[in-house]
Amino acid sequence: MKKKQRSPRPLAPDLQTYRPTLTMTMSIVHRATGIALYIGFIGMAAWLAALAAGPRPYEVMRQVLGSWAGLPILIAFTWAILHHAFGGIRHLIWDLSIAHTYPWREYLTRATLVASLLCASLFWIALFWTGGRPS
Amino acid sequence: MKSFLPLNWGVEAASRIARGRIWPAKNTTGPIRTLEIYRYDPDAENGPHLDTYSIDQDDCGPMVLDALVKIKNEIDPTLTFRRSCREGVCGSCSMNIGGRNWLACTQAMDDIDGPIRIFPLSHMRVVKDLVIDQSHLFDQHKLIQPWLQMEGPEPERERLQSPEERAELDGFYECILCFSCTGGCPSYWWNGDRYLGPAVLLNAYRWLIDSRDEATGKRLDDLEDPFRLYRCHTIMNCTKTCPKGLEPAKAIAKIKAMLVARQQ
Amino acid sequence: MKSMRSGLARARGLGAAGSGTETFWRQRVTSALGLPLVAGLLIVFWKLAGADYASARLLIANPVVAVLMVMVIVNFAVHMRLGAQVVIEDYVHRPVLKPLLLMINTGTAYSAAIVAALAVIRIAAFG
Repeated sequence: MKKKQRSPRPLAPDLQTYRPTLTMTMSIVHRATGIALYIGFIGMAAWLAALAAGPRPYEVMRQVLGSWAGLPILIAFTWAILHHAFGGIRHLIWDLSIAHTYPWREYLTRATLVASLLCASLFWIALFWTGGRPS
Repeated sequence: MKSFLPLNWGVEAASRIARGRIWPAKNTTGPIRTLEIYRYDPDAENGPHLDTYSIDQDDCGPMVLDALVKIKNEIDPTLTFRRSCREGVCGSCSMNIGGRNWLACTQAMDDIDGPIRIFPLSHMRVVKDLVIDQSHLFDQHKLIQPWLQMEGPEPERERLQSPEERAELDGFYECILCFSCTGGCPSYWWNGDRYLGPAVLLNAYRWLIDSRDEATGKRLDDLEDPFRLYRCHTIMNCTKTCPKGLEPAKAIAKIKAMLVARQQ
Repeated sequence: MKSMRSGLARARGLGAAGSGTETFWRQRVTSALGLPLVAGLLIVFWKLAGADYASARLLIANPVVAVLMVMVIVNFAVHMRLGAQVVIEDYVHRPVLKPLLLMINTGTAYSAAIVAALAVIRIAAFG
């Protein structure tokens, strides 16, 4: 008689069944903003190189950033850098073993999101208010 | 939001969960409570599936474990799960209930809305139904050498510790090794073969700060690793899901601080 | 292939690497130092809004701004290289792909930093 072939043990579900927690969500957002800022850093390097290269390349860069797609991207990057910075503060606090306990860890996590949205909004409202326009 | 992903999103074929049997309610008079429970029989042809059970709430204890025992006794004797103390001290009945890892014996059914969905501890290999393969977890626990280490001959009397030194261990010695935290840690999901996970690291910290222990430096050496320790990204799922109210993330942060301190 | 290796041997793997703390610490140092730099960068960004070529060059050529920009570039490059390294180590487990991506990461981060820093220095030093 042929012995029955045992299939490998199944893996219990993880993200498919785990109820999202705020801290886990913000951890993902922290990582996502970090990767976005990596790309943003390359963009900044390109912008600086264009500026150093002369008026022509700079004008191309200015037109890209000033296009219909440029403004939302710039606003998104402003928020991303602020969010990543506030998330960084949260992690520095947790690394000091502070605010691990309920409800402080939740307050702290919410505070980073509120602070980043608030600061990014204030930045752009103030910028438009004072008549500045993105290049 | 129930979860980030649909039930079988990106899941390997052998782990896909099919719709299972719907077991009708039997001899019920009181309000009905529905439970959807993960089933897997290694000897059967079909893979994992989700069975639906209905029980009489008035004729059942308040905890999820009471419902599991009732189902096993009265509806389906093949339902398999670990349990022992039924009061939150043995750590056997940890499982994913309503989207978080907890002990079935201390999870009140009233605290969950709608059908109670029960899966094995997240991202663990399943032996049968809700029973997971714990061997790697306990091998990792063994790796940190969870016992008091002192040199020299056995003393005549007990090894002394001041009340203050003893108080240092509070919040770190009470772990019952249910591995709810480890099963809830995304970092452990992606790198559990090398990352020790919150439960084992909490225990490692408990031995690191025991005033009687003489192996602190060697213990730190064993943790000085990008994967064993530093896969912790302070996601905090561990601390949230500890049924004993412990804070593994804090213990890990303190281990990192100890490692930094010995370099400066 | 079923492994006959003991569970403890698998858990111990290749043993502790004896490193990791320095990476962790460098990531925290650059993160703490990065906070005032983010504030400075946003001020520069504000000043640059709508700037034409001449005024943009003038701003970057300002010694304070130029020093700030170089500090931003160095600090961020180190921080983001380590951050991306952790992300790669978390999700990529294939033997050849992983070291390859780690190399690409280091190359990209430092190349971008060198280009950006030289651009600032050129503008600041040669007007």
